[in-house]
Amino acid sequence: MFKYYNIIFNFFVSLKLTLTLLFFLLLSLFISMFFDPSIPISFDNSSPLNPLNDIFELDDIFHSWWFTLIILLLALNLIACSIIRFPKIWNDSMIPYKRLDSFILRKSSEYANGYLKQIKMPLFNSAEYKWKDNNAEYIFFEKHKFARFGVYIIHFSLLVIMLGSILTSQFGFEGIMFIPEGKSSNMIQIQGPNKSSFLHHLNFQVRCNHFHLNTYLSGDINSYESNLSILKNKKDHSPILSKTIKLNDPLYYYGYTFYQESFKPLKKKKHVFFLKVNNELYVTSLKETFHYKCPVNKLKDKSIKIVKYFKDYYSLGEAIQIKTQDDIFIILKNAPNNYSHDLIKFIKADYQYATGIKVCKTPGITLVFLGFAIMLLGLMIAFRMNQRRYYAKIIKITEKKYYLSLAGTCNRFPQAFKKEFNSIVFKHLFI
Amino acid sequence: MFSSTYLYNTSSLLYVIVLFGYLLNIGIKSSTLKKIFTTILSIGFIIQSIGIALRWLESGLVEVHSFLASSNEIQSRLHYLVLLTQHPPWSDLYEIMIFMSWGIIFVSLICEMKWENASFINIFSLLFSLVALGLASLNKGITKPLVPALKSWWIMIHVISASIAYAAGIIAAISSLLFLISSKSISTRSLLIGSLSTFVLFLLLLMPDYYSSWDLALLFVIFIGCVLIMVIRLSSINHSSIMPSQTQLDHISYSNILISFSFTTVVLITGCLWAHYAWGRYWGWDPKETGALLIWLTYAFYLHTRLNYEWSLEKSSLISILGFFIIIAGFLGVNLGWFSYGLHSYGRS
Repeated sequence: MFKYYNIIFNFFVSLKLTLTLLFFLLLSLFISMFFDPSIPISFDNSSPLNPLNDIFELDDIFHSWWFTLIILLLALNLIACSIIRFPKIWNDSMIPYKRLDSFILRKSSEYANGYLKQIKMPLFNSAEYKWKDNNAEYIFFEKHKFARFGVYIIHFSLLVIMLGSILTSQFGFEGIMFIPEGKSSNMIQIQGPNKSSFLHHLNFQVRCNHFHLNTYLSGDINSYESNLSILKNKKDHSPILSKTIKLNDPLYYYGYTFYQESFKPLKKKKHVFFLKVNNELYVTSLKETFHYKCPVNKLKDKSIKIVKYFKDYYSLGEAIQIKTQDDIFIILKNAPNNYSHDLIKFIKADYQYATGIKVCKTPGITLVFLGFAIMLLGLMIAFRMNQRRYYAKIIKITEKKYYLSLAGTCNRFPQAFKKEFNSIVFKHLFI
Repeated sequence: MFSSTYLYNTSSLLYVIVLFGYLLNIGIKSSTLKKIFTTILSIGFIIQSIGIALRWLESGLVEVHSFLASSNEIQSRLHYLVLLTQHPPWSDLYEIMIFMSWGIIFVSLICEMKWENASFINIFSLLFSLVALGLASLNKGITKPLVPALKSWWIMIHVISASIAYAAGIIAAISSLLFLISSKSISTRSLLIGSLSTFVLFLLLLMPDYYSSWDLALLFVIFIGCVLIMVIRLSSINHSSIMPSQTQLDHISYSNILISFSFTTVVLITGCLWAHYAWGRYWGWDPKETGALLIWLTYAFYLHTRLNYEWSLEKSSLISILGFFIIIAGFLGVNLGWFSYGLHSYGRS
């Protein structure tokens, strides 16, 4: 039993497996680039690729069994390699062998020696570590002690990102909701596998107060944004939260994120009206009664209704006919100052749009972002730091004659280290 | 007229001068001459940087004008400043190519400062930079207002790190190629077969489509590489006397790959963050995203081969050269539509 366990473990520990898996991952990613993820591939029934597609799920490589297998094996490989190598690196980094002996010298090590009349102290740095033996004095100094853990941190961050992705894909969802201007909704359409779709109900309402499309003169879209409000229920008038969202600027509420994604004009081209009542903006549609906060007795009634819209009212421009409980009157868009209503102002009429909002719940996103932060930290440690060790051995021969041996080892960039070591050698041995 | 295009042309002229200067210096080997040409290169780089800054201002003014033309009002000074700066000069293919050439010069200047013999490698990086600049000049650099998806501050750091990452990758591939050429364990015949088959493979890959000027330029670069291998290997010149030593070449390539790997990580991370805030998902297997991941994984593969003691440096160098083609595919190929259409399609023209 133990033997089999060993075989399996050795299989996962090998670097050859890592390279093989990475190679297949590269290959599959390269192939997948030719296929659009949003359009499923459709082969003819007679196509020879059909059985291949059935087995290897070519139409959705990233969710196919073999792609998942590669990722899974890679994760196992990573964990096994970390387990097997960690104690060695830990011991070597934390409890270094500090005496200059011949076996510390590796392929990339530097070594120099010579006879001197006197020795300048300290040899390497004030933080160096020294002690005396019967016949010799040993000095040890190291820089960037933790540099070798950088690689572990990077690998660990990969595992954290993988965990975050699994959480997101298992417990998160991504859906879309279209809300016409002035309306509210709590239904999200979610795309399921195989072109199926189902509805998800939020336990709160999202209202689109108004949608604003901004175009250039050429007709190109400059920007679009919608003002959203979160309501407890449909009849609630005081929103919990309101925000204008646009691309790159979403709204967060209760674990959900609302992104401005698209928009579409409503099928029946309806108008929406922007009114300012007592300097507060209201958006309403035709023949819809709405309420407003009444200032002192100006209009006794608190409800207003737009009855009619005139594109051109007796060649005076756009106008609307407003009905309150005891009055009906006309308000012009471009009214001269003397004739404008002192309370109600007609700002503009616009076609009604439905805003397309993408709703996402990504529970693993914090883990993924944490993984990114850890990865950047690991990169800084792994590539900017270089574990370097300096050793010295001083043998006193007579009062005015010393034998000094210097040695140094580094973990990365032997060329740069050679320069650094040579400057130390130059400082002490060739005076 | 004094415009960014004018400055770009001036800097390309200076780069051509430096290119010939470096070539001349192979024979003369004068350190004074080298210093003079490196100074000219830095001046050209500064001029190009000013050109890019000017382009930023120009496109900012286009933004402001088109904003005003669509009967909007600028609310405050800050709003004006935002409008002026929100269109960085790396938002379409023309600008990206200029920015790439800028990145290549930037990284090769750093190499020049760090390593003594880097000017031999810089001959080739200058060639790449000039090809990129030349290709950009084929396009008319007309500024269009920015599409809504690009209106984000992430574009700054995302594209700058992409430019540095890919420039470092290209320089790493160049020094790896030189490493292979100077390697004694590889025969001339296998080098020739390798380079010619790469050329033919690329020719075949581009066959189905009509040739665009971009594809032709890539072929041209590969063709020059093939010719170069032939010239250096077949000529009687002792190439070790003009080229940096093998350890140095390997060191330059390794360091550049570390830079490229780190910055590709930054590209991926900022891309993920941006996608999260703009589209609601941090990863969607879009061809461009897959391309960047492909580049990252290729370099991860390279770094792991160096750990494996059974792999020779020659084999690792091959991976580094493969990295160049992956960069071209993942960066340019996606924009040029070699692969499926994705969300990054605004970079196509």
